[in-house]
Amino acid sequence: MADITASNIDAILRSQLDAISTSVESREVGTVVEVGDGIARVEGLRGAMAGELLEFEGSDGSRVMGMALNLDEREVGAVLLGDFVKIKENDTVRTTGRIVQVPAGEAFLGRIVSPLGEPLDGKGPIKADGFRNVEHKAVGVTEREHVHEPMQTGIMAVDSMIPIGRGQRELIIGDRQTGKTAIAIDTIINQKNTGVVCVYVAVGQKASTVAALVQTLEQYGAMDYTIIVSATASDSAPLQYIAPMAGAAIAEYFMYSGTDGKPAGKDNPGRAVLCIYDDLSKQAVAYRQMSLTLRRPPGREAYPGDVFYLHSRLLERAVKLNEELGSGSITALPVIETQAGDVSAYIPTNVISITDGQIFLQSDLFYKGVRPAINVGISVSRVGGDAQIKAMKQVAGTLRLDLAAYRSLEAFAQFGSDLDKATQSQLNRGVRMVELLKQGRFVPMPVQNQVIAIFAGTKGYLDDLEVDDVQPFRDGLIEYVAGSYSEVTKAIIEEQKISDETEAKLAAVIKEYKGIFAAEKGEAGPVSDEAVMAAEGE
Amino acid sequence: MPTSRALAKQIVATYASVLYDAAAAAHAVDDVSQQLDAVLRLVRGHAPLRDAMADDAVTGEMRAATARKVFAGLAPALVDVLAVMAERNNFDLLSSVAEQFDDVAEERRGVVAVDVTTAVQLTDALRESIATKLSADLGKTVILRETVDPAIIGGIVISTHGHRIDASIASQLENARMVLSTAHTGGEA
Repeated sequence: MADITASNIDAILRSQLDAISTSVESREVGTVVEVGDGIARVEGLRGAMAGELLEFEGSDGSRVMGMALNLDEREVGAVLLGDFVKIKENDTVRTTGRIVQVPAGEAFLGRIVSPLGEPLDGKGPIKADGFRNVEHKAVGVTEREHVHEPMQTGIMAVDSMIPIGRGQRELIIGDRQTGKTAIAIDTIINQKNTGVVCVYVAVGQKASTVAALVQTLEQYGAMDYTIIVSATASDSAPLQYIAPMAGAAIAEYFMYSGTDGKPAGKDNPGRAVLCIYDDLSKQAVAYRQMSLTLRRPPGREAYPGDVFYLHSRLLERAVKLNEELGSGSITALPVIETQAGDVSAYIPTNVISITDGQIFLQSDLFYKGVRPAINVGISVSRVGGDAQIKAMKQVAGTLRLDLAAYRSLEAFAQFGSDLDKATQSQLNRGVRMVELLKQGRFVPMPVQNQVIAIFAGTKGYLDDLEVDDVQPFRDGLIEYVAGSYSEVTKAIIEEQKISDETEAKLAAVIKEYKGIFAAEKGEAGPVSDEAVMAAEGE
Repeated sequence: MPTSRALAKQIVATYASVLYDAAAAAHAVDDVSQQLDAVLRLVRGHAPLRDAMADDAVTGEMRAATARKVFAGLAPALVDVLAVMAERNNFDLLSSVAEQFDDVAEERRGVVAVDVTTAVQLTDALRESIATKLSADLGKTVILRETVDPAIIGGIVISTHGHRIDASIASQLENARMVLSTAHTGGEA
């Protein structure tokens, strides 16, 4: 850091003063006719643009910004983005000639900002590299590439069966308290050391929730590559409305620029960005409030007619750019909260239809102890398959089928030994696979370890273990392989697939570890369920 | 209440042209224009008055009488028009009428009124040069409506037809304050 001297300070102030434009421009002025509920109706401003930033001048000289939304014949309906109690009737309003923008730059990493880019974390001003329009048109067809790189979440159930690719839009949907945010946070934590920039947009949440989340991310060293855009429940509806768009604009900055801050291109790859909108139901509610106070006609569930377009244009900004533009990407993970599992409500159906798949979380699974509480039967990823590494495809291919078969037979489980052998073995396999996919919070698993664990499961090596032993066995096995047979892990990482050689080796290692595991448990040998059932049957 | 837009426009045009004729006959067009602006500001900031002028519970005559009492002291032509507007429940058209009135005045007299705000009284030489410059820009004879407002510190604010050129020291200082109090630098990202 340079020495602080009077001349230094002088130079900095001078350079900042250079930014002041002393030229005088002609601006349109209007008058506030009506103000209330965070909206103002302004007479005049015939040339105002849709979404233009307006400057309200309070009678005490304070300035409040607003955004023009309704352009009528004689007046403009605007939402106020700041302290709207200072604005009264007859106050002057000026157009600014620009639409709502948010600053963005490298210095935003690790910061908590408002939807207008102002710091909220008390760490001082943020140096921006420039401004980006909050409403930005999504990238066109020719600039895109198909989704083909994985965005690893570190969650076995997701990475194996609902794979997410960079540039994909995957909805996280479920009732309250089912672990929606947990999936998002685990995914952020798993991006450590991958060069992925994360943007977490908190809309309409409690400030305490956001604070706790920041603390968690800091604890796992994830704040270094994360930006939090926060519009809490106490912020005005317009701020909650623009927050996801502002987050997307900041994400776009990173996608369009290389690590050197220069525009991305063929030789200067743009960054991969993970953007989480938590949650869009609250944004829709904020938008509904704004629309109703602006007297736009209400539609279904009193949402305005363009609420679908609001979400579709936001999620369309998720993209995988082609090589020409630097191969950057924005992966969007919107979150939607359902009421009592009702996915046929207006906003959930809208967002389900927009996204490339959904991760469906259910409270009954959550209370049964299946965590993450993902219902793999109805969760899908429509484009992520191409993004999965081959090794994972090899081992997870039958996983979905195994679990589907298990679910269809689950109801018969109570008949126990009365069932035929095939059914019993299918039930055995299923219950162990469900156990295998359980995972704690904040412990994302690298993909090679997931491959090993799922390999053990789908090849039936867990079938003769007690159900309660599945998780300890899985964790022990991964540790054992990493410790004694790191070449197997290495082979999976390097080849991205399981060659015949690796497969044979892995099988041998698992058998070897089974012996060790049994010995550690202090038993003579594993007792299989089948053996017990057979004994009971006799 | 006129439901059709065209009808509302006709009503506004009638009020404006009647008001202009009466004002012109009394040689008080500029006075009326300024008083009309004042009335508009008053009505916007005073909800009870607005409600009283559109109160269906009382007769038109009573509304007209109220309007006459409230606006007594203004130019007689203006008071008459306001009373008729109150009587016919057209008070919500007031801002359109005010706008239309200025347009009519400009058109019929061939002059355009420009509001000029300065921190100190203009000198004749300055007044002359501002009027000449604005006439050249607008292509019409310009009448200056001067206001002295020490709060702008220095410089000049010129506004007409909903456009404003703000070359005051106060707004320049405000810009400087904004620039210095934010660390954002650079242009398009």
